[in-house]
Amino acid sequence: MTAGGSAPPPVDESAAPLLEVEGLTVRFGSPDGEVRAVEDVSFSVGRGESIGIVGESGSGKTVTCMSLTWLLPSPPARYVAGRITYDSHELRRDDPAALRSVRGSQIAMVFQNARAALDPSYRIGRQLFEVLKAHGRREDAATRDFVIETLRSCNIVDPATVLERYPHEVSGGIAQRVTIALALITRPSVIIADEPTTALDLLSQLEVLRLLERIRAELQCSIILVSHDLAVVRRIADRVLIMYAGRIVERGPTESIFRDPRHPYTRALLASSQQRMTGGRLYELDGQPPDLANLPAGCSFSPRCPSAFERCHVEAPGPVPFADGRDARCFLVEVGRE
Amino acid sequence: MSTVLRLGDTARRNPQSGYRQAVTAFARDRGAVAAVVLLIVVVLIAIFAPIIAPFDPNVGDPTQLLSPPLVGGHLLGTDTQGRDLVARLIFGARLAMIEATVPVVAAAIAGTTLGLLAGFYQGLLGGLIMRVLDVFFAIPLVLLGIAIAAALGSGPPTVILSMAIVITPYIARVVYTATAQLKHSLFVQTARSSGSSELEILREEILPHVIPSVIVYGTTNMGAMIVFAAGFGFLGLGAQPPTADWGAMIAAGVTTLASAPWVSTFPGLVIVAVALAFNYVGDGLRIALDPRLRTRA
Repeated sequence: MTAGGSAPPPVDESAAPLLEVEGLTVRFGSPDGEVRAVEDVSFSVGRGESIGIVGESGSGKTVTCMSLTWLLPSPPARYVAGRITYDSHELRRDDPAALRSVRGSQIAMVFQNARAALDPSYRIGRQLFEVLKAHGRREDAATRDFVIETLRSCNIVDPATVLERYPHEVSGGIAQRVTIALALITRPSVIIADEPTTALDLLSQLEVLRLLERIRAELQCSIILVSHDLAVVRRIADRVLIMYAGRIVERGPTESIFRDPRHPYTRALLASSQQRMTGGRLYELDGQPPDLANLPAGCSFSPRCPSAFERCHVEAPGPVPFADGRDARCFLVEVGRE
Repeated sequence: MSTVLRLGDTARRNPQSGYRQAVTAFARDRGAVAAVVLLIVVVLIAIFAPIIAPFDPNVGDPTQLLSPPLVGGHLLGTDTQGRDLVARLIFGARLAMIEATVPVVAAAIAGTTLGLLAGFYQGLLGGLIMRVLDVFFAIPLVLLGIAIAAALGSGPPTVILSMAIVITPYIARVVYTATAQLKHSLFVQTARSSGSSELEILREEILPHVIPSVIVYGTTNMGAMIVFAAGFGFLGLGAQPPTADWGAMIAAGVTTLASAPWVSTFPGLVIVAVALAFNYVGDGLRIALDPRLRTRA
């Protein structure tokens, strides 16, 4: 890999999507009733495409990502419905061997808390090697060189030294790059990055984002980036999914959504993230995300929605598709379109 | 653990292997080092007892009954039958060291297996294992041990077996808690997300984190086992006379405690010293075996 980003590869829209999620519904049992973490989520990821998933804490972003390779232990998770198709093959939850062969080698994950994601009792080199071993690679000088090369490609200046370090002996930025290397080392087709920049300072954030962009360009892999930070998603993603209370409330090409948000929640998100140049107060969305065990009747966002009307409190809107490949779950856009 | 890639040339770059780091950290703890030295000496004494012992431990000198220390060549005096206390303590070390280590090692193997299974496969299997072990917690440890020993008859093998049974639930619980916690840790999820199988996760991610706790807990328990075994001996459930048993030696001196205090006192001191030594070693190991604690200066 060489330094410097290049333009993302063109996405072939006509081809079958690499990863397809249909009707994913995940719930958790709790003393207060069943928590509806993810409700009827469907989306697809094209080859080489990058998708951003945006939402508040508890909106179902992480559960969605973990469910892509059925990683959540069940119980407590209850997979009510959902079908995941990877490379035209269904990923069946009851076929652990097939799942294992996809996990890591085809669909890899980068977690938010890098230091906790690394095993504290193994040196970094060993952890990288374990991943390769799990996918049938032998340990030899070539493998070691490959590990060093992967670390170097993740902007680690002195990979041979980092190999010998325990996770607690390196900085947070290095640890995050190591977790990216960990995901990258098998040359996967899909990298799921769950809030990879949240725990980092601004400069490290920028570096991690550049790294992800470069990886995508060079490996031609798809990236699913989860974040609550719109700026981060805007930089990386071709398409954005906005999640609220376990549902995708709006989706579409990144620039189009940022230019013209249609769902009131997306508008609120954008408004609250953009510092007004005029010096006015930062926009603040009142209220709290709903209790997923006791969702409000009608649209989940209706209690906080500035433009809600009677119908919103009674009936839940379905996704309203637009001609430009976008959709939004809101009665208002339905009205506006008609 | 030493199969990390092929790191021939990295020894130069990072001279501190994990093993060396652990040894260095342990060496910093003076108390633990002194305790290890003491335990090694006790083990050597136990091994070479016939050569070292100045007298026959089981044959008394009828002319030297209850001789005080430093009289007639008896460094620590003699007991009611005129037997040399030094010789009896030396031979008693054999039994004591076996009774300290064997039950703990056996319980560590059984307890780790049970705890790992119960912690990793919570639900029916885990619940069954832990509920059965809970029954053991309901009965006081020593009482249970004595009950088992009394039911099976006296003698060192019974003592060892009953102690092993009694501490297995404790080790299992330590392992269970650690396993249940580790199971949900992010690095286990990372391993799972990178395609590791359940068995690999158990072996590569969970067991290595559990073993240090078991070693530390087990070592500390060896000290308790010394005291336990002495208790069994004191109650006459241990080795039968005339075999030297530290606990039985204390019991033998109880009736003459006022006139000849050395008969009970010296075995008591030895028991305390060895039990403390095991505790110090356990504490030193706790720091030495944790990569995060040991690198702190």
